[in-house]
Amino acid sequence: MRRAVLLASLAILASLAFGQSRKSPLDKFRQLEEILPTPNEYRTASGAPGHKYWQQRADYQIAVELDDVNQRILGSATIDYHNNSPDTLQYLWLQLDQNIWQKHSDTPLTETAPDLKRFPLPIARRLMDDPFDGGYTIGAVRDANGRELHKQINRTMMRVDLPSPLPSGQSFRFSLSWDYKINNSKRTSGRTGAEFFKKDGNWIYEIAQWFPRMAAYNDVTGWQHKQFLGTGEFTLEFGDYQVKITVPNDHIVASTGVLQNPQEVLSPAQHQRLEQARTATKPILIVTPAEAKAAEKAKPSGKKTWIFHAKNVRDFAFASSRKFIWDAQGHNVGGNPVMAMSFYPNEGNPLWERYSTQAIIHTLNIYSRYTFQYPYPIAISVNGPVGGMEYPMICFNGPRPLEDGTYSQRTKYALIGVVIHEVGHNYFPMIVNSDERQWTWLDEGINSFLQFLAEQEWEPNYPSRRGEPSTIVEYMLSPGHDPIMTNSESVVALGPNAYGKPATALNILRETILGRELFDFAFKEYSRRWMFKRPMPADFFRSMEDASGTDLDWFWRGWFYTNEHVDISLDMLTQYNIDTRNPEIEKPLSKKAKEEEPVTLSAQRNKPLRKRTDDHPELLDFYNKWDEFAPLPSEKKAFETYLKELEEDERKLLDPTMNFYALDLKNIGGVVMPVILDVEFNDGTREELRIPAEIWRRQSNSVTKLIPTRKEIRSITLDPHLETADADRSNNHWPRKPVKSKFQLFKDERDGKRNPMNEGKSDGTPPPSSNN
Amino acid sequence: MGRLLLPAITSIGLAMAHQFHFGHIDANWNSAAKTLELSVRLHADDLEQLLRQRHGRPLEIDRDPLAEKLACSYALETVGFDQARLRCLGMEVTTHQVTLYLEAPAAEPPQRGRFRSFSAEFPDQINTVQLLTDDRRTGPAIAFLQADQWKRLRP
Repeated sequence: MRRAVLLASLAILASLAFGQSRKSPLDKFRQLEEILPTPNEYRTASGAPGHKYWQQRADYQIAVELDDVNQRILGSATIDYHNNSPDTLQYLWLQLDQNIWQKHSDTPLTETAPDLKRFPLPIARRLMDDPFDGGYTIGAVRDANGRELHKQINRTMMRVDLPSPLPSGQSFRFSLSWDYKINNSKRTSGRTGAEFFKKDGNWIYEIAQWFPRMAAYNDVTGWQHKQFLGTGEFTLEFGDYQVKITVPNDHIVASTGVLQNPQEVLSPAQHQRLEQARTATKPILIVTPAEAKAAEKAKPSGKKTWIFHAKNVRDFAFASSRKFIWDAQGHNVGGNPVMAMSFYPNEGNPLWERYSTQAIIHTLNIYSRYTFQYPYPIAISVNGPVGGMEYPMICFNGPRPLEDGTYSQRTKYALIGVVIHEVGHNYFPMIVNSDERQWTWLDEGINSFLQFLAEQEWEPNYPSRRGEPSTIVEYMLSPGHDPIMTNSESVVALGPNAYGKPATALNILRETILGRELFDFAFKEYSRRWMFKRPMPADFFRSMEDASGTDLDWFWRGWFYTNEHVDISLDMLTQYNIDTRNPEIEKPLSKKAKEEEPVTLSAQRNKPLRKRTDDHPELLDFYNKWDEFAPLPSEKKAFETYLKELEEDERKLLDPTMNFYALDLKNIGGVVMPVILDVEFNDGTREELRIPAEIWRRQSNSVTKLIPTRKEIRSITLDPHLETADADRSNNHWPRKPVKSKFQLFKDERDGKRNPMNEGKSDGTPPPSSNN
Repeated sequence: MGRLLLPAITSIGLAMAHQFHFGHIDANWNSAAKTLELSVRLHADDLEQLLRQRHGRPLEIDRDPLAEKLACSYALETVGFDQARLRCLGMEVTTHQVTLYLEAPAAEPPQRGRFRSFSAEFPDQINTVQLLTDDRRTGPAIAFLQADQWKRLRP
């Protein structure tokens, strides 16, 4: 620490933080108005829907058959499209997501080469196999009078030309049919597919993005018909669905919507159990493991049609298999009765029967608290070939135990985490209908943030993958990584970019920038405003500022628009004391300071040498005996005169016990962040200083913070609670502390005590499972 | 001109919770011991899935007796530095992350490196290497994208 004397200047006392050089040309606090779209009557400057906000609507009546012999989908639909826009439409666009699996679709064409020197087997198999041809065959498109309409397929999009322009406020009914080959997930995995079980010869089908769906038409993009390449998911219009699903008569179907004909498709016992489950306090088996096992061995004797109705949903998905066990529990979510249900094969147990439905209910409770009450009557989790994917009221989740029924800790938390995540997607983007094809983060990032909150209320110390600031540091350090505000299809490292970084950013916003009360109110307000509507990023940014009463442009700019990282360095601490001009105080201090000066090497070596004055004491005079640190009368008198010139309040400032510490901070990473300091004093006490990010507003590269205190500082730690994603903890201490590397820690552990996992592995025995 | 059969993409990105596609190495040159010490961090789900596919059997990376050996083998295959004699000291597994510890004798800090874990599997994989000398960073991290093979680590 450097020490210096501070002149008793009132001007300096008034300034507690000051920049050291000229302001950077790039102002980190520059407002975002020049980047965000201009507010209008559809979307306000406050982030709320405008007074003329509109969105289209599409209602569907669909009949679909699942061909269990050939793994095909055969469907037909009548669609009522409602033009609520102020515009007259000449044509309609529909999404044909299945066409991603056409033989010559853009997705394989635009794939870049893997490592051609080393081909992993699965990649080689993928390249050698005949390409899977799973695109749509679309039949005639006809209007309500049966007249065929001209259609034009453009890869994953289809234009239907209207017989006459569709004016604002009018509706148009048309029908079409289609079929396609379902992908075998083992060879061609995706968000939908079929899984074959060799040992019993049965399939599990998870069917999604399976019908021509109306593309969104909105005030920001017009028609959202950006081609589907595989990453950017979708945004659709809300509507009501009436869907008839015909399957082999020994199948159990899980679906978006409410089952309309349980008495026709369920056995009397199953129907009775389903009713019983509505008021149960724990999951009730509608189809038992034994019944599912028996169904696996039998053959269907015909077909059954399951009828589902869903109101105000933006999509529709279903799953079907004779292998399904089915459990359910009714749950009241803020007055809305919801059936939480899980469908899984025997291969999913014992993990699924224990955790899936419980995780659904937990998700509904937590997410509803932070957003809005879950509005749908159903929430389903299905185990099948898809690792994790969400649709309204239903989601597909992959984790399973090993064949012997045991599972690792990782598998357990993978299941709980993915169920929370995918059920959570009901809120974002199934209800808050953001545009995933454009902005993955707007639903995945927000959902990953809420997943973190839900996980942390599942059990103590839940091992969340995302949310804690430290989990994103290495990614944020990667040079040239994409800003969060990057289109879904262009993002490199989608997981940390669109899931992890925004989840961390929102967690920091909640815990460190705004505090929980302000954040939770603002976040709930955003959710409420855009429930069943289509927000854009600007609506989120503006809503959070509007409802929290806080200018957050610097935060959005740093975290969402740049690829800078957080690294604040605590560079230097300099101590200043008031010069009281009182010789009775200052002279002893000077004496003490001189005594504390180190003795030079020459002085140390010269000390024993006999001096001339030892032999000739007559050479010693006044100056050899004079104490230069003793106050002189003239000095005392001058101080008294000085005191008389000061006002009473000015005299109080001449407090010799006051210390002024100048703390030099450097912003190495670029992102401006609050400065959180844990100050330890010499008397052993501590104090936490939480300095808002605005300390960087005039000079974002380096600032000096003045800390006045009556105590002497022993040490300072920056970001003591690891809440800012600071990338380099080695410069977070004054005085500096050595940081041990992970490599060294590992070697130390290897040399010493073994952890329980190592011990479990040493004899080849797995650690005890919580289930066994 | 010959015709190329274009491969069909067989894995479409999901909205699932476990997308990650990011790996990181802290590459520390220990000047006293004259060793290069690598802490290679990979996503546990991705590595577990890859080992299952490669070895054609169910495998849970946090409790399979062979997992460490297989994971080390994969790391040695996809990670390279000037020092050819990397050896794997072992691995640590947490719920979401695997850290593999590799070491090699090194008279000098490394000049070139290669980090291609999961580059074949995920086109959007980013791997980064942070160089350190005696546990102090010597510059910004270096990124490896899908097309990157050996790269110079220093200007």
